[in-house]
Amino acid sequence: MSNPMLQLRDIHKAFGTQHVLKGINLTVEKGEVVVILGPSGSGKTTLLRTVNFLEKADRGSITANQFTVECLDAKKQDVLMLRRKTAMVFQNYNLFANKTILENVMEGLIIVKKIKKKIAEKKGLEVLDKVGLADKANAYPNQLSGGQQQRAGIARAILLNPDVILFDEPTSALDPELVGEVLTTIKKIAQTGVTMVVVTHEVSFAKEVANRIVFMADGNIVEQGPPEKLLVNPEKERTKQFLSRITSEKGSTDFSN
Amino acid sequence: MQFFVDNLLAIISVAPVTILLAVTAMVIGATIGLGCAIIQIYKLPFINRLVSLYLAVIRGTPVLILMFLAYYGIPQILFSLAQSTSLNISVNAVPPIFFAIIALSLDRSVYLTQAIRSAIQSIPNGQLEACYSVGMTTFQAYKRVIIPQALVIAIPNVSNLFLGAVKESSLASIVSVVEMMNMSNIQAVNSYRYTEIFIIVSLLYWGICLGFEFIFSAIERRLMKGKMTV
Amino acid sequence: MDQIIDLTFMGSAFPRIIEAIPTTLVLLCLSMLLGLVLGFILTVMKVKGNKAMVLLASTYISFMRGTPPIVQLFLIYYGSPNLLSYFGMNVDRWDKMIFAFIAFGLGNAAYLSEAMRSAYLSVPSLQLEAAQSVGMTDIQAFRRIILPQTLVVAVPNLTNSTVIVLKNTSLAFTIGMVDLVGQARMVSSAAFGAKNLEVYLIAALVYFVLCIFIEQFSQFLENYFKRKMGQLR
Repeated sequence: MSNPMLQLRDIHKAFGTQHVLKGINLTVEKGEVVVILGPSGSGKTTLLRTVNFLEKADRGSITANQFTVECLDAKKQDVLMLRRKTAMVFQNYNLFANKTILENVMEGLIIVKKIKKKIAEKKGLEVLDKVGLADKANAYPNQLSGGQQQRAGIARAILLNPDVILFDEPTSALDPELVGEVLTTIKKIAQTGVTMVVVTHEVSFAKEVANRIVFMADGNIVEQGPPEKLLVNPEKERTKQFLSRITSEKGSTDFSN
Repeated sequence: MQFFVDNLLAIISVAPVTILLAVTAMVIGATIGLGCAIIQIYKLPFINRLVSLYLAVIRGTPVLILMFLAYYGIPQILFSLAQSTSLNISVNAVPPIFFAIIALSLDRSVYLTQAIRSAIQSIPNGQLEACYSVGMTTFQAYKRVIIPQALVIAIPNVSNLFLGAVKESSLASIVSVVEMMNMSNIQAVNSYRYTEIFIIVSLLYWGICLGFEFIFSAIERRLMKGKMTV
Repeated sequence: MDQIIDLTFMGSAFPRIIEAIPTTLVLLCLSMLLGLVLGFILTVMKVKGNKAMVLLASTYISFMRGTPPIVQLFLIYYGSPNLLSYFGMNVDRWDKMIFAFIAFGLGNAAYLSEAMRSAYLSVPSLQLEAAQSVGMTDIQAFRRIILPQTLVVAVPNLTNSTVIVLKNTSLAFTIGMVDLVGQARMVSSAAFGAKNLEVYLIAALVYFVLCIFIEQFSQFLENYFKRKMGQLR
């Protein structure tokens, strides 16, 4: 526990009477790729959204690269600061509909980081090249396929050079034949040593990319460990159940290049 | 207080004229509108273009101008006709409300065309095909299936257009029809208490509009409910 | 009297009537401007305000939508001097234009705020989340992401409102303004009222052409915004 990049302490969240997160503690080291697995309704997406304050947790604290925010009395400035240390890749891409792909990835640099437009443009084109979208720089989101939009969403996130990138089910809105290209992109990013937290259904992808897998159910972390341990030899009954159902369905995309 | 009540009653006494103007304008406007909508839907050659021109011209002209054109223009045209043909036509006996209704109807017909057209087009084509499959003619299909369904869909629009007609009927005051607005003018000039009178009449219009809005939404809810249970 | 419509007279009356176009257009612009500002405030009250503010804005909008423009005009023209004299203001000398544009602007604000609100609500909240996730402040997100998308949706409604306000400005003659209608009436009475049909035909034509200009301009604006969002190429 030398250099935690992200630390969640006792995160609680309820929607009305529904207790969605029941005290989550999670530490992510620098450069670590943590994949959160779990059945739908387990609270994994909500957890990710509380980290970026898209949902405000009812209790607990969040530390991103030594900057701590107590969720209950978070000030506007704190929230902004936290958001600027993290970046999010959304399930539905959420590219800005009124901006081109290049403008989408540059937006954060120009507005938030106050970088000069020329430099931002250069960096934007570089990152688009990295995700294989250099030729789509001047296209608008609605002219792209889902997979292309999601790769642009990833480019937007990494260009901000955040301490942690949060992926919220980045492939679940995609047609099956487009999943591969996005996962390849994420894997490529993971190899550059960026700290990442990924919520996904893709077990085989998790196996390949994760340093650690966290299994969540009913608002709690059931167990966590390296993929070779957790996926092959889980300790808890709940995890076994989930994994056996997944493998019997064979729903996950095989991801072995 | 007595002043308030007296004036309120005086203005309410001509409220039927306001309602009459609005209702007639809507009925005549809907008749014209239905014709125009069908011509537009079936894109009848040539007439379709005439209809588009008609709609554009009326839409681009203030009701007030339509009112003046009807009020001054029709008698003037008939007068010239009478002179040149030496027929004995006179419009002196025609009450001004007649011209006001013409102007209001023309204006409403434009918006009703839109409302009717979009309502008819929102009925799935399968409904028409189903009518044909049981052997109905197009006319029967419209009368028995398409238009009844379209009416329900059109209610919110028709409601808005009717409220618009109530408000626009106030312009008839300018061609000396004694409806609510004109009565207020008369009362105001007599009493010199313009502010109070116009507050009264504005509250009255507001009340009438809210009332009709309520009625229309009740009708809609009723019809929708019927649709659900069937 | 060999022809029903006196075209020679129309030819000579036309240039005199169109002299009033600037008055009508200034009235239109001022009314739209006041309507936009006030409409924006009403929208913010309805979207972000507390219960009392929502109620206040809704009542205002309901009243303005439930009363005829001519009644609103008379209320302002005859009523406001009375009201303002309580506060020691004497507005008898004010130009009639001021009363007219305030009346039309107040009424117009109600319609515009409805248009703005529905346009604002049509932009998915996910767009705001995306802006927040890259670290924008609320103001930055509104200005750079939400507002541009709202505008595209709002253009057709704003055009409709502009056309409606243009047509409503024809009422200004009732308080003695010399707008297009007022001017037409003056030209008509100079001809001893025998040429009413002709002058109002001219007025109708002018309004019709102005409407077409407004619609063309808005089509241009809409295409421009859509191109900016890649919906048109």
